[in-house]
Amino acid sequence: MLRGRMTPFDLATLPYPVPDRIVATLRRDWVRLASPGSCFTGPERVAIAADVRRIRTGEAATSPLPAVVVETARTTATAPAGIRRTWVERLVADGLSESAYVETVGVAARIVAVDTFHRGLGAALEPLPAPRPGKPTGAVDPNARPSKGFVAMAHGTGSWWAVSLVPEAFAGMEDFHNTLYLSPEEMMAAAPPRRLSRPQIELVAARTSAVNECFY
Amino acid sequence: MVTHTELLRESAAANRIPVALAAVTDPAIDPQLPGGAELVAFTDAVLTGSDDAVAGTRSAVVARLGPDRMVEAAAVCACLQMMNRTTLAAGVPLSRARLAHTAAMRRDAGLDVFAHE
Repeated sequence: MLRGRMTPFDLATLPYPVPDRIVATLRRDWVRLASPGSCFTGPERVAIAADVRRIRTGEAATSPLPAVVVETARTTATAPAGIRRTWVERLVADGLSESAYVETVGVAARIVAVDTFHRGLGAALEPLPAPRPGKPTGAVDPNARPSKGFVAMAHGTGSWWAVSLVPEAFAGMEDFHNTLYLSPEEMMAAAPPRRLSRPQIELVAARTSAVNECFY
Repeated sequence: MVTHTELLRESAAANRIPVALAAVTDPAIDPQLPGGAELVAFTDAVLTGSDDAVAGTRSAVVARLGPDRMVEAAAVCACLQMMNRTTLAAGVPLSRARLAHTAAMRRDAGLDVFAHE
């Protein structure tokens, strides 16, 4: 179920108090989603998100995006634990650039996160934003190097740096991580500034990772 | 890089409260944290359950821990949905040192079932 509103993420009518910092992050993400990325235009990025929503409800993707993009979005959204190096290499061999792969992963992963949050709260899905005009920026992090993972990363190989090849994808990941979970500084605290205790936070995080078959 | 199961173990130790790590992979086990069973049931429902299951487990978390904490739990679950996907899609590996350091914990928590390149 979708709802139509002028102001995105107007969650004030919910019977639960959604912190302003979370609403602000979600609104920033909608601007990010609608805007040109490194390899995709705003309309293409919103189309990726729309495809993910359709695929997650069992419908077929309808966007005119290349098959390799749709396959990346579908697998990221629905079967990420099955991703292997040979599969990524095949996508690249079929014409998907490494940065386009990373950007697609970032868009797909964040729309899943947004919709998961709404499902948890019992809120209707937020309508996707109207795409913004402009050409892809072509931006990649100049510090990115081949990594021990499947794609190049900047500053090191790790979960934090997974999408660091594409600055927009990294910024979106960082914003969500810092607001929905904890910032790197808050992670150093035994009692971070949240209502849940740190062990309660980590129980939810660890259980989510287990269900997703992700060691982290 | 530290896993969330490690962070669960270490944060529980720092707060001097018991925790059953096996609850991470077996929701039938009581995590022993305040509201832990409700949080696990809510997480599972959000990820794989029906709308009715989400509503029921949400109400249970609100009743046990309050609405603020339910919202935070939904936010943490959402964030890990993103982080798990980016991590798996980028093929972030476990280092040999990390594998060695976490061997006992992974065995106790049942995490060895997950395939990694």
